[in-house]
Amino acid sequence: MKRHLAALPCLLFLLILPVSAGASGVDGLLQGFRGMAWGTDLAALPQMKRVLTGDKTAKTYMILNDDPAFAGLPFQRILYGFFEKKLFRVTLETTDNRVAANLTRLFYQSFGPPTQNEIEDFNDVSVWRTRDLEIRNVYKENDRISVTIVSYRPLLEKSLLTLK
Amino acid sequence: MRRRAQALALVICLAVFPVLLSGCSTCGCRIKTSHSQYMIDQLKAKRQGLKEQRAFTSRSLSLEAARERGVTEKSTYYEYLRAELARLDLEICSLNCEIYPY
Repeated sequence: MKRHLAALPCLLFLLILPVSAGASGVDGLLQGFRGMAWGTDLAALPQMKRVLTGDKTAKTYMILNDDPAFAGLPFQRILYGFFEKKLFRVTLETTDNRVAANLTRLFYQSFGPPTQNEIEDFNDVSVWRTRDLEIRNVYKENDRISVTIVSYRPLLEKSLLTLK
Repeated sequence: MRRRAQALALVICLAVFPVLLSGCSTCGCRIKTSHSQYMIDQLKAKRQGLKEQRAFTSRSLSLEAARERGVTEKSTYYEYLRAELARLDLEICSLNCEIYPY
């Protein structure tokens, strides 16, 4: 009986863990993404593999043999953007509208309603801005890819300056 | 003869002015100018983006409604989605008015 009682806290911890891990996924964005702090040097992330996307603001990478999940949600692909070899942007892609809807819900719960809506390339984009973060959501219908871009603003602004 | 002409002018004015002054019953816009084909294509592309956002928001609202079924006081997220749908409907309507001026 005593043994069973001793196992109870462990069981409770295991039950609570997935819930808190899901919540910390979005809340933890202020510090970084999936344990990688914003500004981490590319050299410290040997698992990154370069992919060509035609993006002029950043060099894009993917993690080899990655399980592209975030906040308990499965994505099709997660891309990592580096500027001056420092991690500053993450792009989450999905064709599953349910995943996109749940991610938006998590953003709303953590950051409140979007700071603004912008028209970009004829898309209505929901934008959240905090002091250090910018999150942009673009939704697509009919199995096309919905994209969420999370950027670390200090480096994002630097990268945009180089384009001018 | 002159009186008849004046009466006719009055009737025409009474018939035409309300049409000129009334706007769209949904968004209230009074757009009378017609655009070039290029501009219309741009407006249509913009409208398509808004329609996709609307479809997404509508689906999110359905999911949220299912989640909150039986709850009398709806969450702020639910209310936000409803307000967002209303905003998108107005924006789509005002683009419709620009594309097809009446």
